[in-house]
Amino acid sequence: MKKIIFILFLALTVSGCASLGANPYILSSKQTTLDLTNNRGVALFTLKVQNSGNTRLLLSSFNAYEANQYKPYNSLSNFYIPLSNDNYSAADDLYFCTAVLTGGIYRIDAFSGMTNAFFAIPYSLKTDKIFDIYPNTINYLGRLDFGALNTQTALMPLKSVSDSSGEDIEKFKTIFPVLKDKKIENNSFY
Amino acid sequence: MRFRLVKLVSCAFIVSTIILPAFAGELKKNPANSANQNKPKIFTDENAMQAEMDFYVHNDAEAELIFSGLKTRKDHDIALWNNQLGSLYLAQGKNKEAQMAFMDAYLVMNNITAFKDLELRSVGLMGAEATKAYKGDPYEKVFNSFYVGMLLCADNDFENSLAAFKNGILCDSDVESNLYKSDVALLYLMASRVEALQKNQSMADDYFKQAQQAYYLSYPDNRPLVSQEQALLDELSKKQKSLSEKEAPYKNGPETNKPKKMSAQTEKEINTLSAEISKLETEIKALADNIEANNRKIIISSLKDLVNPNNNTLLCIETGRAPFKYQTGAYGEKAVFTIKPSKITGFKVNLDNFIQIQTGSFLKNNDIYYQASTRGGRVMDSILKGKADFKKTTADVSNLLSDISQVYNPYGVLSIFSLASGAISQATNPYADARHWSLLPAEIQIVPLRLNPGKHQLQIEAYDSAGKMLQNYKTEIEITDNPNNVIFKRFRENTL
Repeated sequence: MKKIIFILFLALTVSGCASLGANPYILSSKQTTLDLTNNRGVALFTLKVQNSGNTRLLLSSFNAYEANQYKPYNSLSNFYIPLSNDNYSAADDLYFCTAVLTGGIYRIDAFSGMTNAFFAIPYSLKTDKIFDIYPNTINYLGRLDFGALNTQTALMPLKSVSDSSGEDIEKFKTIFPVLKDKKIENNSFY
Repeated sequence: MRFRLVKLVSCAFIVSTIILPAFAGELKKNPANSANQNKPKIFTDENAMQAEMDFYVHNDAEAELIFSGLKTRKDHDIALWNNQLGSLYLAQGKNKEAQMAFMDAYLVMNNITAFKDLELRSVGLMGAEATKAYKGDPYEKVFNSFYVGMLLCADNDFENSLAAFKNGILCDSDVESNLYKSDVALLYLMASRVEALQKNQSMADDYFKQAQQAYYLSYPDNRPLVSQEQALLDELSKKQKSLSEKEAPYKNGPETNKPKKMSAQTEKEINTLSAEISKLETEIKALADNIEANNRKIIISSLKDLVNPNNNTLLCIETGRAPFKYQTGAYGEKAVFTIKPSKITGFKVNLDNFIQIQTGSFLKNNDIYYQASTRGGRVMDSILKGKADFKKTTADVSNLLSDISQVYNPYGVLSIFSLASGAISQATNPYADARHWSLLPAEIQIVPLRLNPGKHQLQIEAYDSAGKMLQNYKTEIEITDNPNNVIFKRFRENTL
């Protein structure tokens, strides 16, 4: 019985540890090295939602869906990209999003979050944006602007995309020190 | 027995952990081993995306290796691999290799019977559209014919070049709506030029007239008007058909079929339809007048320059990325196009360091996305829609039966039926075919030039909308006494 309890305890502890491990698909502020072998590349973009009212929007994640004409539709991969405190800059009211993926073409259809931290009302920022990941390359894609937060609905569509590379790239280098000495190319969404 | 087993395991352990790593370096250097390394690598479809990315980061050798490897499989996608290879060769300036690749693709894309069995399978409810052979959408056939024609023309093979351009015109006409019939002015212009080079002036003039019409039709200022006009014409055609059906029983016929008396309700319906038709005709006339007014403002000097046989060189500047096709919808049953915006908006061409070519003489608006996105609904789309409906229905039935069986059926009879139904749903494959020629450029601009035979210094500067120079390309070109020299230059955009 003791053995069983010990194994259960170990399993729970180890599974907890695994979930706390670094996500290979994002950059973290504590990261000191960047491995771009095996055709991996990085996409960087910012996201703006004006939180002028009392209710705040807290984004938690987005999914990057593989868009690959050479693979059967039902075998295309889907990567869960979490957003944490690292990604949000209160001073700029901007989310600094990163995706570290294998070279290819990917699609984002929504950003998920909640409008109230306590009652957790789900909220979605809808978009349909496609981007490239070039092997061994770091690309800045642009700024997605969703306008002022509308709490009357459960979702909001994308308003515009702009090139704010001048401001954003510097800020990315500050938030993610691993990018500091790296060359960041200026690219765009489809 | 146990001792032997222990000895065997120990030996295996020693060999794998000590001996093999120690001789690993030697094995690598072994000529027999290096011969194995030289064997052609076997590539799968999944390597193709890597090759595509390699193309955009100028890793042409790797891209060529992969696409060539895929081509050797001679599978149902052979025309796709050849088109991708053709674009790659053209970007590298290997025109001969490009011509061969495009020709190989051309033969499959324009052969109705090629891979017929695979096509028949995709029409059924259970087949995936991607299992059929790739033969390309109409716009892909158009541009394959264009490249074949251009490269054959550069070889002085005017007869075959003209055949390729005519084939492209035919592919462009293969659409549902008549308004989008043959709006690729480039093909008519090249056909006109080839006829002029062969001294068939009357044919050249005929093609030029059609080129002019196609150019007006696809001119950016006219595009929304033409699209609106098409919608109204479709509506008009439906209403006219409905009116003639309603009026048919009351029209004078032979003595034996005397017309019936019209009821008040029918008379009212006919009057309403007639009024709507009249209103539509007025709107269409107004749109046609607007298009005509726009046409008068369009300058066609660049068209005349292109067909002029005295201009012995055509400089084709390719820029941007091909329209990107991807699956969407609940079951991936819809294929839609999008485009990656190009930062390059203009070019300056300098020859021999002192002749600057004005942008007014560039033939522009050969926009591939426009050609890809204005094809109207293909027959294939309606088949796919039917498949998606089937999947939803069987999936719903399966789910419903599962629910029922969990509650009411202790013997599992319904569960079996439910599972079978679910299996049918799984087998039904509504995924749209997203295969497309992704290494095509977004736009082709053509500069007709009159150059003396011999070597020339060519410089092309690419600019963005703010006038900032993004890329500068310099090269030496050799102009032969061939009446039609063709130079391709591709600007790949990820390097910005």
